[in-house]
Amino acid sequence: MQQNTNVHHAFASYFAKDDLYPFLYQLSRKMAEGNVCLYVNEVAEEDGPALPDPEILNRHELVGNPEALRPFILFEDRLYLHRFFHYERKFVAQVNALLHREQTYYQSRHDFLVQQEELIVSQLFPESKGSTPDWQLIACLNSFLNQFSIISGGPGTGKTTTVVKLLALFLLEQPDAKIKICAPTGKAKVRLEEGLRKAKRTFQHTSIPEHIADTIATLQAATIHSLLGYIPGSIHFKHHALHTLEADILIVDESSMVDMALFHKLMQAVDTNRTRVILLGDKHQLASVDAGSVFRDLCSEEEYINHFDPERAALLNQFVIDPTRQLDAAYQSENSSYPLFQHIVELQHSYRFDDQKGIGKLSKAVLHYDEMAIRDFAETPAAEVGIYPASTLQDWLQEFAALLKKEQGGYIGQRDITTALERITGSTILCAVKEGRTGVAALNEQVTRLLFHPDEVFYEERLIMVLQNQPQEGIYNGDMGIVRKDNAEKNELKVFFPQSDTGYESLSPAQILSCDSAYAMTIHKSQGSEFDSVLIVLPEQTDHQLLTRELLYTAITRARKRVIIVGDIDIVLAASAHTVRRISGIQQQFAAV
Amino acid sequence: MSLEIYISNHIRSLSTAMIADMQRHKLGVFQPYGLITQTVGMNNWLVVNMAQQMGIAANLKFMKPADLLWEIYGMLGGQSYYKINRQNIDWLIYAVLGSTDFQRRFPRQAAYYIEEGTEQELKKWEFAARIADLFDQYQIYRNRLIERWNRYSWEELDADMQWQAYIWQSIKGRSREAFPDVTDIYHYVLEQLKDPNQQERIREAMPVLYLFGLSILTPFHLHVFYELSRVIDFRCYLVNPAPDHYWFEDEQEEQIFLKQFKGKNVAHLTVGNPLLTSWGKILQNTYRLLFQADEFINAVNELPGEVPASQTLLQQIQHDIYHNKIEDIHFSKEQLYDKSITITAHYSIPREVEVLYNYLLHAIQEQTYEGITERDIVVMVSDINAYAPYIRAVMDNAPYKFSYSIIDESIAQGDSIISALMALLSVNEQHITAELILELLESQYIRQRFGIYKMDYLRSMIEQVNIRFGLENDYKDPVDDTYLVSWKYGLQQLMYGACFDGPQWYTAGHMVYTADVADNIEDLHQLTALSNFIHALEDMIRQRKAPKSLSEWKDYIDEVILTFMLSEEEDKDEDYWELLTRFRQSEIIDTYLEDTKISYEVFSKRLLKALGSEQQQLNFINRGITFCSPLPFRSIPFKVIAMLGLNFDSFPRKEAYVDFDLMAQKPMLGDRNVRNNDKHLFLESLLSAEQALYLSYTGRSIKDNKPLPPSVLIDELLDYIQSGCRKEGVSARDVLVQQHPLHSFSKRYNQPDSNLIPNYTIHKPETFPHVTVDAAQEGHVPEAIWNLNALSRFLTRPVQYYYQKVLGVYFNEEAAHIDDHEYFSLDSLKRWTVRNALIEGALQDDVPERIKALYYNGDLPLRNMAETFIAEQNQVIKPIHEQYRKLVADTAIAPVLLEYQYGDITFEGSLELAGDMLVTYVLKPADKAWAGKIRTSLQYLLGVACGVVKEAYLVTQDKLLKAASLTPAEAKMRLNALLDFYKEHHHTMIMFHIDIYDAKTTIDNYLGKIEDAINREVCYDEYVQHAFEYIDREQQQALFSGFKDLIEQYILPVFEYGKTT
Repeated sequence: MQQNTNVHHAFASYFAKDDLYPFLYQLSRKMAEGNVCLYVNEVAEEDGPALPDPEILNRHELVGNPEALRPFILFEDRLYLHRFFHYERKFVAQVNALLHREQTYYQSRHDFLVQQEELIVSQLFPESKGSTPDWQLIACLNSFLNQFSIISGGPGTGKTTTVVKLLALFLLEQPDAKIKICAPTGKAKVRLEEGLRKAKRTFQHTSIPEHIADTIATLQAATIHSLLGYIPGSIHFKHHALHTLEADILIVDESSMVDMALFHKLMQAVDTNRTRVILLGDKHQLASVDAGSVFRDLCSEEEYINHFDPERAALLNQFVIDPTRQLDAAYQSENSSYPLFQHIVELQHSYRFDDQKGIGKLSKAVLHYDEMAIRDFAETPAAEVGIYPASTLQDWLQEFAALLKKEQGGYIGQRDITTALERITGSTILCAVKEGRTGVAALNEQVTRLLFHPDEVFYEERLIMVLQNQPQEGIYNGDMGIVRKDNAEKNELKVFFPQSDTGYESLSPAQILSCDSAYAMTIHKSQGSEFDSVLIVLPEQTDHQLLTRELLYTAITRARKRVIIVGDIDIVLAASAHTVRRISGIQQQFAAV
Repeated sequence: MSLEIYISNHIRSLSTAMIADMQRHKLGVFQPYGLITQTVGMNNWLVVNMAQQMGIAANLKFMKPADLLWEIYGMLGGQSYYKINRQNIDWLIYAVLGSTDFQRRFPRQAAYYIEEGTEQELKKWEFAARIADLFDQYQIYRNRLIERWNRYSWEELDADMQWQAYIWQSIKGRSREAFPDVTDIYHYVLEQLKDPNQQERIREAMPVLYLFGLSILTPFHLHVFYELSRVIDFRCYLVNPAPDHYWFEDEQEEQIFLKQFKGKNVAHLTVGNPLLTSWGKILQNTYRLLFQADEFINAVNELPGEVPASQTLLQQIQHDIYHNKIEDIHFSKEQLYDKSITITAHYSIPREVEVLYNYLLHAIQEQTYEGITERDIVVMVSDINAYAPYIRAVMDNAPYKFSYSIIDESIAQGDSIISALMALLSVNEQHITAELILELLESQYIRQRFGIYKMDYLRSMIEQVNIRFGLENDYKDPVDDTYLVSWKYGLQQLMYGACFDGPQWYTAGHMVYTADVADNIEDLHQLTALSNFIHALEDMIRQRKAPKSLSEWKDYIDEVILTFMLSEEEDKDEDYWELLTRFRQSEIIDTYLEDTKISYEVFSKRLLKALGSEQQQLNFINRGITFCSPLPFRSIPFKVIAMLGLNFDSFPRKEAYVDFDLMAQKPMLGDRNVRNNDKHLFLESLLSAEQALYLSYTGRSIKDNKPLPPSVLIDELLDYIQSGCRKEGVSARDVLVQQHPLHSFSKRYNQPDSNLIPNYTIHKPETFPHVTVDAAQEGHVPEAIWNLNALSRFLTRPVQYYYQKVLGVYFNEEAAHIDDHEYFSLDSLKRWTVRNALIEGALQDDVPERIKALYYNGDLPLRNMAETFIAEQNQVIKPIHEQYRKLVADTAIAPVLLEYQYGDITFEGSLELAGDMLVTYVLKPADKAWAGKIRTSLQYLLGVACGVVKEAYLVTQDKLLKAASLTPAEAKMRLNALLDFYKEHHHTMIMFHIDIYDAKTTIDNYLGKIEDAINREVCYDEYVQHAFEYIDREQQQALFSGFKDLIEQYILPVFEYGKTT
């Protein structure tokens, strides 16, 4: 009777007990790891049954070609669930429809830009120094021309600034344009709004009319879920192909965190005859937890990024006065068959970090696996940026725990709740794993003991993170709050959460369905947030599956001022060397059209 | 070597004396003191006392009387590892009963179970279990009988015991030397004790043996003690509540009754205090037994008595008993009111526990009984398993938290491997319902094993695909389509549904309409885990169909545990090892069972019964308040003793005899008697309560409010007290018994003049802060876009609108219980879904497809019921559809989003138009279609104001309503008026619901109508129900007046003048 409770086994054996079994086992496993499908020619996997000859897939009754109504679909040596194959296919079809639509608008947009040359050149993008093209300018103009664009860039490269300027151009062109902006999480949404609020300053010395600046500064962002209209208990949304979003412009921030299913639903709700879509993100960052790394897949053809055909390059160069900053031959290619050619711009210059030192240098070194540079950070670590051996963990924990106190700029002891809430992004501890000595649970426990001696689960000054979306209470997975006594109400403990409009809101601990302490969090959970100081604690084994370049890069780029990595140098190097490409068929789908 | 017996009325004096004696004995460091006691609680108490008195309590070997003999047997070199007892002989007896030899020789007994079938098998096992139980007792209480059975062939014995003797001899024959019986052991011990070498051996191992606080002794045990006392020092410490009086030779109750019956004066026949003699039967028996032999009488030493005080009512009674008072019983009025005895009557168990909580909190807060702490309180409840969940519920949620521990609970309670195993073993193939599976998954062990963690999600999935019962039902041979509500079909819908993009028809051996409900791998894996669990369950049930030998069953259970609860690699916890030891014996017994195959029904019944009666091993006086079951001889002193569940029918318990019980046929002194044990316990409790005694029972029926009598012991106590306060002219019952109200929130609580225990679990209701006050507007950022649906809701269900939009309060439906039968009728939501599908289908010409999808999706009743239902609905829908068709003709229907600028605000709404015509329908007659009229009017006004709509129709069940024609200017004027009102009041709660509206609704009668609807439970809007209590009526009437005018002036006239057909 003994049942194998391995879920991949259970999944595979539910459908098949024959030669298809190993394929379904590996498909289930691959999907759990974030892939959309299984590459059937893959060499033997370390876990689970080895794949037999894929020939069986061609004649199995459960597997079909892209047009078949079968639970599993085989496409270009990739085995999918019918559902995910069609998600991907429909997504690509929508992008293609947008690209196709571009022809219609191209001339009028071209003319409009030329007409606005004065404003663009001297006011929006006044000449600044640099030896490389001004990618912000290129991204802005290029996206204006396109119906579908991608702007990728690391922290501090000016994605939001570019978008703000782009929006101004849109509104000049179409004053009543409907703009929808969204992000995958509540936190990312709030940060996006904060960025937009600065629009007024951006346009201070320009001829952009005040009402346009006002409109941009007061734009309300939404989470993708609320934009699409969440239906409780359903996987569908109120907006879909038959009830599309009312939008002329749709901007999606932190796109790297969006999985295939959600991206599909978002794109389905786009009216391709009307809406311009702009995806913002950082292609180097961690992909979503769920299946699919759509943003990264779209950006995967490196040679087409920041490349344009001569005609487009000539048009863009028209707006660049300094000849050394123009798009020269190195950035030009003949018209490519790749559909996303000249639709992706990567912002390469960080205005926040210097590539040559500190956080900027470290993150670059990790991205390019620059072993020498990484070793430098370990051999001569600085107090601001450095890699320290695992043995120093306790000292760093104490230091970072102390950073939470008011005297050191933290929230503990800061009487005014609004200020206290602002200070919770002062510092944090990021972990790669949840369990074990270097996991979130253990470190949270240690910091709790260093700072408090709580008798109860909820105690004053506890910093918590919400683990479950509760739209009715207005709190979302990943939101952070402080536990304090509410003087107005009989000294009962309340949890205070920051809110962009009113400063804060409070809930009774009982109203929060699921939460944890937030002195330490996983790197995954930290996506979409930034902190002044970040302590990154790495696990002790080098062969940790989770430990990838993307993870380390994401962790480092959460820091604004200071980043300390605690982990032996071999671990850091191993992580930086280990990059995982998720399997999908997006490129093949584009090619198939 | 000597025998000494010490007697005192107080257990403290006894313990002091015993510990002093131990100190005198000064045993070596490695030599344990042997102590015979009856309960673990007593042991703990003694340890505490010893530590206090001697500074240390170590090296103590506690034994129960039954263990003593076994212990000595071991010391004297006894070889057997197992002895005959109830647990291991029932299978042997079962095998004997199944033998043809027994059936041939004793057809009368065999007739009870001889026929074929599971039921007969079960009866046979029940019969075997009863016999095993009797044999267990015979060995102690009738050892002479067993001796005879061992010596003579059964044919030589009395006719009425021949068959039992035959069984006994058969099992002895089967097991031979492997299981000695108690008399074998006894004889072995007596024989060995004669040997001086063996005597020395015993003396070395255990020079002194103490027997402490026992109240039940059997002649058998006394004999063992006596023999032992000739070899080692033997000290008995016994309680006698009235040591200065001889009160043991009481007349038998029947004899008294007989004499009374003959009109004789019987007063002189009672030799003692009525409470003492009525409740002290056990003690009487024990002392009578003890004093039958001179050796024992001579060994008695009286310890100085501790005379109880006589201040409070409780003390006075204790004092009376000490002095065995028969006359001059008197209680003062002050004593009656001194709260040393409290008796409360209730409607239900939860109320009993709540009031107990309040009693304890009040006592501690008011210092009623000096400085009592949690450890000074013991609570005995008649049925711990029934009370435990309520105790936890009350104690864990109360405003002030006591620390407490519950002991004696069955191991089946709580979330353990054993409880999960029991639940799995009880699964009945015929009854695998949705709720049953969800219940099994409540076990954390099962969930962990299968990787299930999203319980709410799985519940909603099971509900969505309408899984009700049965693994497959008639899947293989469709008869009544119940396969559609089976697990197999439902899981196919889910598993294939997760694979496919959108609902699909798919043939997986059978036509399945897949469910489009999971689109991420996590959810898919949760569904997979559920399906895996069901599969394992199916396997488990299949494997138990063939009868097996005992050790095969043991393997089966092992498999079940490893499959469902623990993986092989996992570290096993205590529970698991305990289970295994339990089964180890089965293998040994199995070897004597020859090839007896046991059916699953019999095996599982036996196992479940055994597991169910096991208690959790937790220490008495562990921490905080102790809740326990009433075990006699546990009554060590506590400051407060409470007893719950003292109902007429549950305490004292009754003895049940079977007619072949040879003991019941010829009772003897010292026989077991449950009823007397309970009475004794009550007496002990009364005597060992130092400050207060609290008694509670169910005094009224929750069904019909009829008074229910308390336990006869409470009555006796009250009668006794009453007899002592005749002079005072008060009724003891009125003073001492409190009847508590049905609900905790009763107004009778916490009143200044209430004599009830105050209620700490309720707060005075606070005033509802959010009604009609416009506070919410403060700091509110106005929305830039208003929506027609929201406005429509505001106008039709303003209370719900207010709760949801302003307060952000949603009354979610609790996860409802999933029925274990198919649909026979549809709830309103499903009915709406079906009707809507029928109408939409009629408009799109795809009714059959839609019905098919609904049917295979579990949205319709099965078979003919579905047809009937659809036919009924079609009657309603058909005219509407025809009317609609006529109007729309061939024009295509297209959705249009309209925007109307109202100041800074955009008012938007989505309309479905046929050209410039708006046609809507509503499944109600025209004079009831208020909500439809309002919604359509709003759409119409918006459409006309935007210049898109020319005409509008509302199709109702009986009439076609045409909207009055309006110019865009008129429409704008009306729309603005509505939006003005909305702007002003959309943060105000207006008490209204469209369902109560009709043409006769006035400002004066509308609140009455709502109240009436709530009272008659026809108003199913829970928001209205909730808010109604808190409204300010005058304010509401003022608001409603504007609201009503608005609807009647600007909305309803739209259709009033329209053409009707």
